This record gives sequence, structure tokens and C-alpha cells, in this order.
Amino acid sequence: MTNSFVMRSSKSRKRHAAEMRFQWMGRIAIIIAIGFLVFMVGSIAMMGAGALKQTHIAFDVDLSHNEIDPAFPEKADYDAIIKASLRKAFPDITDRREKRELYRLVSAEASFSLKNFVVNNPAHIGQTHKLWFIASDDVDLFFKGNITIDEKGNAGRLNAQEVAWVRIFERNQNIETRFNTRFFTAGDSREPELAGILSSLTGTAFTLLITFLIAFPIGIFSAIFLEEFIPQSRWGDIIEVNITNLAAVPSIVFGILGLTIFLNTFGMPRSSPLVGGLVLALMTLPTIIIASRAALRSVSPSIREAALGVGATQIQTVFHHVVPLALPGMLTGAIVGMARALGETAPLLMIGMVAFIVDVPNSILAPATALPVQIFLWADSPERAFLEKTSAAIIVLLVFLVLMNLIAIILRSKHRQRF
Amino acid sequence: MNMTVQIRTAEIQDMVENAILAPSASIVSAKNVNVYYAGKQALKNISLDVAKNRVTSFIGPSGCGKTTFLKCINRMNDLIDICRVEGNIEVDGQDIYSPEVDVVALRAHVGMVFQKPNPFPKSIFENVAYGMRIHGLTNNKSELADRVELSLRKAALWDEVKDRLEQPGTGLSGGQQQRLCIARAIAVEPRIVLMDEPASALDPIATAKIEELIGDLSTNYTIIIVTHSMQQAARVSQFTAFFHMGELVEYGNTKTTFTSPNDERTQNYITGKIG
Ligand SMILES: Nc1ncnc2c1ncn2[C@@H]1O[C@H](COP(=O)(O)OP(=O)(O)OP(=O)(O)O)[C@@H](O)[C@H]1O
Ligand SMILES: [Mg+2]
Repeated sequence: MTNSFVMRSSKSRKRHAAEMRFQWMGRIAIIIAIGFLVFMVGSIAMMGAGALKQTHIAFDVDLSHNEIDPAFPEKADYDAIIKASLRKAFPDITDRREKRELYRLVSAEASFSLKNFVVNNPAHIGQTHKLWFIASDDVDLFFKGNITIDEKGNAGRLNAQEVAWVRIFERNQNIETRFNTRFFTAGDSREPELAGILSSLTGTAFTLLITFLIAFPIGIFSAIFLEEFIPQSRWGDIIEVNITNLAAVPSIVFGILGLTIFLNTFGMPRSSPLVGGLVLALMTLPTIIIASRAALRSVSPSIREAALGVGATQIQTVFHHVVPLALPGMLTGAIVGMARALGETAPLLMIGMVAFIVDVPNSILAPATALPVQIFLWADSPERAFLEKTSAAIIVLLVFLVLMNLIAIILRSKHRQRF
Repeated sequence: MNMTVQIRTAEIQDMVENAILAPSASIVSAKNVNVYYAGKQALKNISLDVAKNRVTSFIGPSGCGKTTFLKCINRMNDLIDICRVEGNIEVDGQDIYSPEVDVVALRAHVGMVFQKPNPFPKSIFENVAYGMRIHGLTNNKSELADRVELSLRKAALWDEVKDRLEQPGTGLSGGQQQRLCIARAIAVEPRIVLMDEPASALDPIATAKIEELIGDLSTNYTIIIVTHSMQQAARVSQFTAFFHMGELVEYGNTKTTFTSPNDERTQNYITGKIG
């Protein structure tokens, strides 16, 4: 009873202990990795979350007939109307410098939005209305609590006087934060409170579309040709070595290549998603080819034997049996390559996709920038308010990365379900 | 009276047997075949003629080169980069290693059931229908379904799969997969069927059905079967070749090979002394 062979001996106990040690080391490694990830994403999210809210302030605007001609409402000087309305709200301000500081509380965009309001609602002309406007970036930062008041009473670029005005707005409940739709619907701007990601996001979408349309078919067909039709030949070996080396070439080199070939030799339009997409396609190709070849190689040779054995041709064998089995792996490779292209900045700088783009690009030939380049530009800006925009743009970039990987996973599991 | 009838039957049996064993036209003819895997010789100077519309079995200990020789006959060895084949193999009078041979056509006429079952990861129906489809044997949907059913029936699999033809062939048991591969091979009506241990994973009932199938097929087809079962070789085949360490040691009609082998190694193998 005591010494049954199913009981633990000292030898098996040792083995068991080694196994437990290994499991624990693995667990600790995973916990550390997850910790880093949570810390990184968490800190970016905390910084960027503020960009989803935008401070607005309200004051009475006098839309008098003196200023606005009802026949031509778009011709009025709305900037002057805003300024006059602000002066009216703070009648005891007479000093010129103080007036300028007062005007600075509202964003420069206020006059445009007022104009839109009046043109769309001409019935309001002649009345006085309380209207909401986007606050300037300094007010925004202060009101959201991103900057604190120092010993001199200043808050960032706001002086003590301006802080007091913000307090007055606050007391009258004429200041509040709202969801920042502008961040998703506007292009870039010199004013942080007006800047959005739509232009760069569209640029990225166009660029990646070109990249995918070029790199995916070429990559897959190259892989099929190299793997299935010239395996183990000397040419195949030479090409294989070169492709592997190409995958390791720094991306900026592809940018220089694009600059000399696509821009200087072929004269394609600078800063365009077309050229960006071509450059990123060149960069992504090796990744797709290598991943696709690995996927093809992992298909069991017995499937090839089976197909050839019933008299299928090489092409039939490859396209009826091998490629369908390798497709999930190929797609994963393509998506991994595209994800790398999504985050790429350096080659795009080389071909001039670093311009200040306010308008949303409407074609693959229009000047555009890309999301990572936009992040780079914002991170480089002196205004403090761009800090949270940068983080928010990074979050958007990460969301797209996660989405792409999710698509890869769904495609793969869908494919697996079939057989 | 009774006596004479019995003698007559025995006489007739002998006559039939002799007719079967009478030198019929050979359909596969190998001369001085040597096969090397990366310089290591796997087959040594094999010369052998396979009789048309008969069953020939290849026996021999594991690793002696049975599969290797089988794969030479439909050039499946082409897929192995390190494999080199020397010598001359004719199928239906044509040297199959000559450059003008269409390997695809060769394999369509020389079907193969592999040692390891390898169904396509597609539906059971598609597994059998695929070969007929690519060869354009039928364009008619119901005819295709009929022929799939016929092939599955011949392979003794129909009753087990008739309700789940749309399910993946890879979901079948090992023995069922092997029968599916048999059905797939005979569906395209090859002239020669190479069977590499087709019954190694089958239970006695399925084995009996496959042997019955082999018997039926041999009226119109030539069959070469690799087997590790002496009883099976004796039951199904008219001719037997014994391979040993890459050499063809003995080749002749099955009965003689099993009852009075010429070579000592054959004797030892069939009595279980080597293997
Ligand atoms: N792909 C290969 N690469 C290298 N050597 C091989 C290969 N296939 C077979 N061989 C060698 O060739 C010899 C014959 O192998 P083969 O598969 O023909 O044996 P077999 O008679 O079919 O054996 P079994 O009864 O076990 O199936 C063996 O020594 C084996 O090691
Ligand atoms: Mg074998």
C-alpha cells in the first residue's frame, strides 16, 4: 500500500518541480509583457482622451441689421460682430491690450461658424442670440484641467486676467465641454482646437489601398511562382536570398528609391497617395512574399501527391488545392505587411507626404499626408494643446492596427470553419 | 459418377487457373531500374513485367523499396527532389521517362492509392468528383452524382457516408479515409491501379470488400498491390514479386512463390524468419 508505483517518487517529484518552475517563469514573462502593454496603451489613452472633448463658450451675439444686410448675409464682417459681442459681455474693458486678450478666448473659427449660422438661419437677423463657439486652445487646456495655475496666477499662456474671465464664464454656465466631432471631421490646422485627422486618415486610406492593390497580387503570385514552379533551382535560390535581404532594408531607403524613380524619373505628382502607395508596396512586397512562401510550404506534400495522383496538372494542383489551404497564411502575411505600412513615416517624408494638408484629399493624385506623418507633425508642434491631439491620433492609429489584425483573425477562423 | 464429376471440376479449375497464368501481354515493363535517394541506392537493377488485367502483389520487409518502385510507375518520384531514376520503364509500350511523355496523362491512366490516406480537405463528394471533373469525364450533374455513388459503393464506403457527402473527407476515420482514397482513384477509371497497402488500416469486413473490389476490377484493369499480409497476397493476386533490400529476389505466379520459392530469402520471409 505504501509504495505503490503510482505514488510520487523522489525522481518524479524533481521532474514535477522543474515543470512547475518552467510554468511559473512563463507566467511571469507574460505578466511583465502585459504590464508593459497596459502601461503604454494606458498612458497614451489617458493623454489622448482629452482630445475627444472640446471646450465651448457662449455669449450673446447681436445680429443687428446695421451689421448684416439680409439680402447679402454672407458679406457681413462676422469677425467684427464677434468682437463687438465679446466687448458687450465685458463692458468695463477699455484697454486695447486687454481687448485683444479677450478676443483670444474664442477660436479664430468663431466668425466662420457664426457666418454659417446666419446664412442658414436668415430669420434670426435683427435679433440677439446666445450662441456657442469653440474656445481657444489655451482656454480649452485650462478648463479641462490640463494646466494648473502657477504662483503668478497664470495658467499656461493665459494670464491672471484671462483666468478670471474664464471663471466668469464658468459662473454663468457659459462654458462647457462637448464631444469633439471636429477631431474626426476636419483636416489639419495651425490652431490646435481646430485640427482634425480626417485629411490624414483619408490620405492613409488612399495610400494603403494602392499598397494593397499592388503588393498583394504581385506578392502572392511571386510566392506561388517561386515556391511551386521553380523550387530548388539556382535562380530561385538567388531570388530568395535577395528577397530576404530586401525585407531587412530600412524603410527610408524605399523612400529615396521612390523619390528618384517615381518622382524624378516618371514625374508622378509629389505628395500624392499614389506615389506613397507605390513606395509602401515596394516595402511590403518582401514581407508578403516571404509569408506567402512559408504558407505554401506548410501545406502537406501529401495533398500535392493526391492531386497529381489523380492526374491534375501542376497549375490545377496549385490553384485547386495548395493555394486555398495556404490562403489564410498568405492573408495574414499581407495584413502584417499592411500593418507595418500603416505605421510607416520615413519613406513618406522622402516623397513629400509631409505637407500641411487642410483639405481632405479627393483622389490618389491630390496632395495628401498620412496618419503617422500627421502624428509626427503634431508631436513637433510647439503648442501644448497638440500634445493630446498627438496621443489621440496615436490611439486612432492603434485602433486601426487592432482592427486589421482582427480582420486577419476572423478571415482565418472563417476559413478554418469550412474544413 | 460422383467421382468423375469431382475430377472434372478440379480439371476445369486447373484449366482456368492455367489460362489466367498463361503469359498474357505485359502492360508495365521495367528493365534495369536503379533508384537513388541523394546517392543512396534504394532499388538495384530491377527488371520485371507486369501482366495486363491481372493482380500482381509486391511483398517484402519494410524499407525494401516497394513504394519506391510503385512510384516509379506513375512518376510520382518526380516530386522528390533528391530522387533519381535510372533504367527503362515502359507502360503500354511507351517509355514513360522519355521527354515527350505527358506525365499528367500518365498519372490519369495509372492511378494510385497511397500508403498514408491523403483525402483532400474538401467534402467527401468533392474528393471523388474532383478527378472526373478535371478530366471532363462528365458534365452532367446527376451523372456525376451517379458515378460518385458507384465509386463509393465499389470502395465499400457508400453506406457509411451516403448521408454526409457534404462533410469533409478529412473527418472520416483512418480506414474510411483509405477507402475514400480508393474511390477517388478508381473514379477516373485508370487502366492501372497502384495500391500501396490499401487495407493496412481496415477491419476484416472492409478488407474483404476491398479484396472483392480488386477481384472485380482485375477483369478490366491491371492492379499492383503492396501488402504485408501473405494471406492477402495469396488471396487476391495471380503474380507475386518479393523485394529484399532493394533487390527483386523472386517473381512468379503467386502459388509457386508461396509453395515452392526458389530463393532462401523468400522462404525465410514467408515463413516469418525475416521481416
Ligand atoms: N523520400 C525519401 N528520401 C530518402 N530516402 C527515401 C525516401 N523514400 C524512401 N527512401 C528510402 O528508400 C528505401 C525504400 O523505401 P520504400 O518507401 O520504398 O520502402 P517500402 O518497401 O515501401 O517500405 P514500407 O513497407 O515500410 O512501406 C528506404 O531505405 C527508405 O529509407
Ligand atoms: Mg511503403
